[in-house]
This record gives sequence, C-alpha cells and structure tokens, in this order.
Amino acid sequence: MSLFPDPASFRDPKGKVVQKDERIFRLISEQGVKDYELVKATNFISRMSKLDKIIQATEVDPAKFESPDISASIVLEHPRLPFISYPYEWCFPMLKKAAQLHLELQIEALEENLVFSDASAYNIQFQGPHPIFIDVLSLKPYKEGQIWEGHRQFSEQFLNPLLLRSLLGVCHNSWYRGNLEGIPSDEFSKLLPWYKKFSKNIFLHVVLPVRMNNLAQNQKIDSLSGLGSNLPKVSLKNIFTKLLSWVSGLHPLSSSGSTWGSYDSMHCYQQEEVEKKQRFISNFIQSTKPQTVWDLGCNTGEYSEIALKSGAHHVVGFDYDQSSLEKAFARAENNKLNLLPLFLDGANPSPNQGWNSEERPGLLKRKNADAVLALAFEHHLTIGRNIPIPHFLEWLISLAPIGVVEFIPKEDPNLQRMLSLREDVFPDYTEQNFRNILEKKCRIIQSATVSKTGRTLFWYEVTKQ
Amino acid sequence: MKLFFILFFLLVLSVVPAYSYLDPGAGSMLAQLIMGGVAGLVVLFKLYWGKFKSLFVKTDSTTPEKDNSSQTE
Repeated sequence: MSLFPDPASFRDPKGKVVQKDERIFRLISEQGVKDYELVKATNFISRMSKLDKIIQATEVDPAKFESPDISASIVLEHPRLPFISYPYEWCFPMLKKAAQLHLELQIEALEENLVFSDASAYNIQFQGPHPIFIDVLSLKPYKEGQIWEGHRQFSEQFLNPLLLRSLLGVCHNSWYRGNLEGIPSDEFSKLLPWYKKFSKNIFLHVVLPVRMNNLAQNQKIDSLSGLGSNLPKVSLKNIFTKLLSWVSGLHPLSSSGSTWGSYDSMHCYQQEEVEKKQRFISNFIQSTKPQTVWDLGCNTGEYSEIALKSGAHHVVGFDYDQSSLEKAFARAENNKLNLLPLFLDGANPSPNQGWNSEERPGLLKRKNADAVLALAFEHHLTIGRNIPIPHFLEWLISLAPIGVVEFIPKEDPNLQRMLSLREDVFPDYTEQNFRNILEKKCRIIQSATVSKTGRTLFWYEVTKQ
Repeated sequence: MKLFFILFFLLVLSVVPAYSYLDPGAGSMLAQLIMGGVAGLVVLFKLYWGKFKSLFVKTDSTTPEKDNSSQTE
C-alpha cells in the first residue's frame, strides 16, 4: 500500500489529503474530529455537495490507512478532480465566480451556525466552468460574536485581484503568481487614485483595514485581545451579503484592447476553410478517442467545443489573451461544456512553487492530456518568442502521445504582420523543415493544408521520446 | 451618516506608515467591528484614546510586542 501525501496539504493540523491508487482521501486527525463531527451533524456538507458547491465526502474505513507515521480517526474519500488549477491561472470571471461561491457558502453556513476558518482561493477548484469548494475541514462551528477570520485573506486572494482589473484595468495573474497569497491590501491601496478611496465598499474593505492596521500597530497587544468576539451575528451576515452583492457587480474595466478577442469573428479563414479545419479536428478526436485534451492557444474555445462534441470528455484550454479566455469561459458556461480555460504564457508556464517548491506544482507536473491541440499557436512561440522549432516541438510532444499541430507559413497575413516590424531571423522557418523535425520523433498520421495562405495541420503520434 | 463622518475623519487622520508588529489581521478585525456598528465605535474610541494618551506619556516603543517583531521584519 503506498500513500502519497498531497504536497499542498500540510498546514492544517486537523487533517491532510493523500493519494492512494489514484484515489483521493482526507485523513482527519484526532485534533480535527470534534469539529468535523459537529459540522457533520448539520448535514451542511452533504446538502452542499448535492448542489455541487462542496466536493463529495464519503466516510471510509480508517483501518485501511493505519501506518506508523499516519494516525487517522476518520477518513473521507473525495472524487478525483480532472485537473487542479490555481487562481493565477484563472481569468477574471473565474476568480469572480470562485469569490461568489465562497461568500454564498459563508452565508449558507452561518444559517447552520458554521463558519470557515480561512478564505483561501486555493480551496476552490473548477470542474469545467463550475467552481467547487474542496476543503471540508475548514468548516467549523460558529462562536457567538466572532469576527470573520478570513476577511484579510479574502481581500488578498479574491477581492483585491478582482478590483485590480475592475478599477485599474490590470489583470491579476502575474502579481498573483509572484505572490501566492494574493495581492496585499496595503500595496493595492497605494495604487488606487485618491477619489476611488471614498467609494463606500473600497473604503470599508480596502482602505479601512489598512488604516486600522496602521493604527493598531501602536497599541499594546492586550488592548486588542478579546475584541474579535464582539461582532453581532447579524453584522457578520451583513458583511457577507453586502460583499457578495458588490463582488457580483464587478466587471473588467473596458476590455476592448485585447489582441485576439475578436479573432473568432475576424480571423483569416474563409467559411469553407473553417469547416475543413473543423472536420480534421473532429476526425482526429473521433479516431483517437482521447479522454482529456489540452487545447493550446484555445482562443475563444471554438475547437475545444468541437473536441468535446466529437467525444473528448474534458478539455483544458490555454491562452495568453484574457479577453479570449473570458469568451471561452462564457462559451463553456453557456453551452454547458466540460471546458476549463486557463491563462498560460507558453514561453513561461506556471512553475513549481510555494513551500519547498512543491506546494503548487507547475503546469508540466500536472500534465494529464491524452491528446493535445496546438492550432494557430506554434508561430506565437517560434516567431513571436524566438523559440527554435526543434525546442518547440520537443516540448509539445512531451505533453501528450498524440496531437494536432498547425503550421503557419511565412506567407500568412498574420505572420507577415508579426514580421513587418522586425528583422526576419528565421531562414529555417519552412513547412518542409517543420515536417522534417516533427518526423524525427513522430509519425505523421495525416496532414492537410486548410487555408489558401498555406496553413497546414499535422496529426502526429509520438514514436520516440 | 454620522458613522461616515467618523470614517472620513479617520481616513484623513490616520496616516501612519505601516511597519506592523501585529498580525496584519488586526486591521481586518477592527474594520469589521466598525462595519458592525456599536461595538466598533467603542473600540475606535479606545484606540484613539490610547493614541491621544501616548502623546503625553513617553514610552519605549521597542519594548512591547518584541517577540513578534522578528517574524515580520
């Protein structure tokens, strides 16, 4: 029997998550049993998991998990999620949905006299476009008068990143990736124009906590102790409901500046060419039957949707453009697709980071694709970022054993535009050379030229790694 | 409206640089108490009273919260 502790589950003394035979278990320690039993008695977890708001938790026999270094009083089994993603990989509407779920759960929990001990965005994961709360041990009984312990964390991990985009038009991803705890209020408030600070909600949730913190630093600790149990329950609920209504009304500040957001309606394909490309992808998926597909450069999710409709079970889409991701997310929601669109700079994917550089595994450690699509993607790295073709293909074929990659020739108007303002230092950038390099480690099953400008699709199968 | 007047006053008044010795959650807690109303105003008064008193009573600023300082700085 081998148990693999989850590298992100070590902080909470009440329990930890382990993997065993590809299954996910949560071992509750003696310290966590009392709270868990009280929470369980309310049926809150089972009620919320029926609504897909909290992950299912089924009790299993703890005897099977006994070992010298593990003592579990209660063991829960959770369904395995198809892909773990992090808030620095989410686009604005995803972070907003996660924030809304957190607040909705807080409000519902309070009705049952329960609260959450933290407000970590990492406790929310996505199944397609649906957020789900995964850390059942952060629920505990409410104590009369207690404040919201997670307020600061909620601000840093949800609110400030959303406001950064909503008030200043800046996306949260890079800052969040640099500081895994989110965006601190004191730093964020320095960026706000003075007149924004007078808006009621910004004042109460951003400016005031920072000011109060400054004020509190000059006080003796004992003058503050005990104050955290003076908040009436009705006020606590009020904070949640007002915050929820505020967050629900947040939108990105004018998103018209996106490069690729309008790609769907203006790309350089004729209708019949689009259909040819769609047929190729559909045929690839139907023939190879992959469960999980990664769609690199997914744009608004057009081909992710085709992959899903052709039989793929789950698609993780990646794109660099926020507006495209937001459209892909809306497509997933509207068309009820099992599509998870994530932010990715292909030349600099999410690294291994956090405690011991393993708490939040990098993208490549999380790879789970049976097949990969890289449509109109290759030139952004090879021409746009000077990644040589052999390096690009080496990386691509390491992601999945089969895939479709599209080659964009220099004659293509998009590529012409990219090269128009710079020196063409890519003498080897030809379709023949691309094909030769691909064939060194792959068998080309099928290829097709799908546009007048010479864009070519290659369906490949990796033969040598 | 009264509360807002006080909050506004606070914003203008409280321009102390932040080199916190306390857990940064203290600000969040106080902000919630103020949002919560009555209890918050009492707390606020106590804090400002403490600040006001410190103008007249000289204390060694390095002695309190010494234990925590190494964690934050």
